Amino acid sequence: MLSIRDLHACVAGKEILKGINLEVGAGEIHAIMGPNGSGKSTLSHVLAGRDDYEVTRGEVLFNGVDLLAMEPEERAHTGLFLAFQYPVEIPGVNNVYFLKAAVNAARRSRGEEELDAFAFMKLVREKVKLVELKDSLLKRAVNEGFSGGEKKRNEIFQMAVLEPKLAVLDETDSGLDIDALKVVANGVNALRAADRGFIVITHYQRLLEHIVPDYVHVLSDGCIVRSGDKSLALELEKEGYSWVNEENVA
Amino acid sequence: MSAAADSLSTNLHAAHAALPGHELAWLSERRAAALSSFDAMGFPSVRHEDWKYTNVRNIERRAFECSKQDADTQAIAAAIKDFGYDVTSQIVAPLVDGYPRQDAVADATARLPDGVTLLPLASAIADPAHAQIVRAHLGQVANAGSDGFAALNAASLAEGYYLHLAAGVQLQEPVTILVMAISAQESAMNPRHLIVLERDASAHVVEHCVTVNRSASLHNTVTEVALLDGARLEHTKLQVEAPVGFHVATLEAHVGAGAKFVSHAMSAGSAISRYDINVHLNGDSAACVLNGLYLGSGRQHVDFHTRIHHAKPNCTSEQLYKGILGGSSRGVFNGQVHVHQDAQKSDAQQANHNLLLSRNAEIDTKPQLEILADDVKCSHGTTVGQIDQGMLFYLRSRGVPETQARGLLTFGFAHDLVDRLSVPAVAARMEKILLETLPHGDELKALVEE
Repeated sequence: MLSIRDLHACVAGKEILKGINLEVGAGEIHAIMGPNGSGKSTLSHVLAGRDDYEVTRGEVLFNGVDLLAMEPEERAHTGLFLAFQYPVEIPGVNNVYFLKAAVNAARRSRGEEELDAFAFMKLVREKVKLVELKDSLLKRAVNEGFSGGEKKRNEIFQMAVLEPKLAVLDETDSGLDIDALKVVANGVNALRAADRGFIVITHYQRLLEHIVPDYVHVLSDGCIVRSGDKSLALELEKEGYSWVNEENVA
Repeated sequence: MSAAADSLSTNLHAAHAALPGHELAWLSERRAAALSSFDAMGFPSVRHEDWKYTNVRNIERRAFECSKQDADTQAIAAAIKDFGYDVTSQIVAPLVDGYPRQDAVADATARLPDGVTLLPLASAIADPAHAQIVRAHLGQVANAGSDGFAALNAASLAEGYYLHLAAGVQLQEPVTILVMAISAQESAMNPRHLIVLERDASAHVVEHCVTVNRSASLHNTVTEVALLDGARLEHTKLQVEAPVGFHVATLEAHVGAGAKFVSHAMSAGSAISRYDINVHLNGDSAACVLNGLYLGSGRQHVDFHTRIHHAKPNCTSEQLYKGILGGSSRGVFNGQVHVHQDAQKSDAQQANHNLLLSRNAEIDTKPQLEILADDVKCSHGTTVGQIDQGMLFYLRSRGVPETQARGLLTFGFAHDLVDRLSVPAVAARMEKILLETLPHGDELKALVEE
């Protein structure tokens, strides 16, 4: 589904990604772990198309199509979703308007009929149950005045409504208490499907107890230095990231 | 003298003896004094401190005639309907080409509750029950000598509406003065409105200014507001005149003890638009809230000047003005707050935020605080920025196309000013204008209007 090949990327002239290779198949969950500054968030932003990152080498194919050539909204329309580490507050822009704009733009791009207000609200009511997001928050401005936990739930809620083929969750666990973490993880698990892939970016093994990955990769200094199954996450938790770096040097 | 001033002065001198109420000495004297002020001053130049950023040369060059009262009632009734008003269920006072035309909405005043008087100003002057009230306030609230436009307006003091609420009367339904330019002639209109709310009365007045036939006319209007102790007025001005004309307006409000004046002003139309809002907090614990939104595109020039006088203790003022400027448009915001010497415990807040949508758009913003009392709370803040890239990326990453995302963010920037309106029907009207005016607004309609 997603093929990342020898991906190099810079921010303000500084190389952050130094040759990433990763294959994500349909139905798989890949966890990417790594210390601060290893390039985890850069990878997620490059995939979503943020324009302050410059890709200097390599390619990314999404279902065989060149992802990097697309605008951010086109990537979303073809089925990519990024759950932000820091969801942006947008004063004055109503959550429901915004999501309806997103859903209908994707439908137009697929040649489907747009949802009317009634059909859209039905979809919203169905999906909002998944993350136990309060109804009142839906009518508010996007993320404005939401608590950390509410923002992350809103991300998963949007993901549920948009039904992506590949979801990248960028440190979705950061800032969550254990109850909120479970709600978010349950939401993600409910969306697991044979035709949907996930990349879960996290610092901690904790999230992976709730969202069990098929593969774990360790990112360090812009490269994937170790890959394994879920037991790799447990080893990391025990030994710390320095262990991977030492092993790598040795 | 400039072409416009010359032509208008000649017109006014000729009309002077025939203006409604000309037989009243007090009125004739006020008009004559204003006309000689106008003859002496002409239109303000950029050397005048208050007009430093707004050049009215394009107004001065034109040989305006005073407007004529010749629109037919059917055309007026049709236009009222076109702008979305229903005279059978709403209180609508049409002002057409500068003249009150209640004849086009025959039964409009029949529905007014007891204690509410809505009359053309000329009728109020002649009405024994109101003549004294008019005399006490007309041309007294606003200072005719402040600049040429105000003087020009005060030289006629004839056409416009008079709204009076007796003590304690609460009028829930908004009164809309629908100001329409129907004539295709380039003309000058100088309407004057007078709103007097006696003790503890409350009302909501909308001035909605529109153009039916595009013409480069001058709409030079003054609204005088007198709020007696405990009264409350919410005043909404929606200015969407054709972008070829000129709009110059002053609103002057005297606010008594415990009274409250709330102003919402949206300026979207005219080639040059200038709005002065002067509030005098004249009684203990008087309050005002001034909200404004100015939108500019093409080569439009839009200027807001506010002056709030805290004359007595314990008064509060709160101002929120926002501007959205695209193309080569230019905005001016000048917000003055004067806290007088004995106005202790004053609380004055002012904020002005601007969103520039293009490289060539410009804003000149200047807060001016003059504080002579020592126990006060005053704050002001100004921002000028572009569309936030982080927000834009967030929306696009969810699939919202870029133009629509920009539209949503621009709409969102302005929307708290819509939310501040207390009457839902007025808020809906302002939102509609916003969607019709903002770039990419048409792409948002389907999202919002359900």
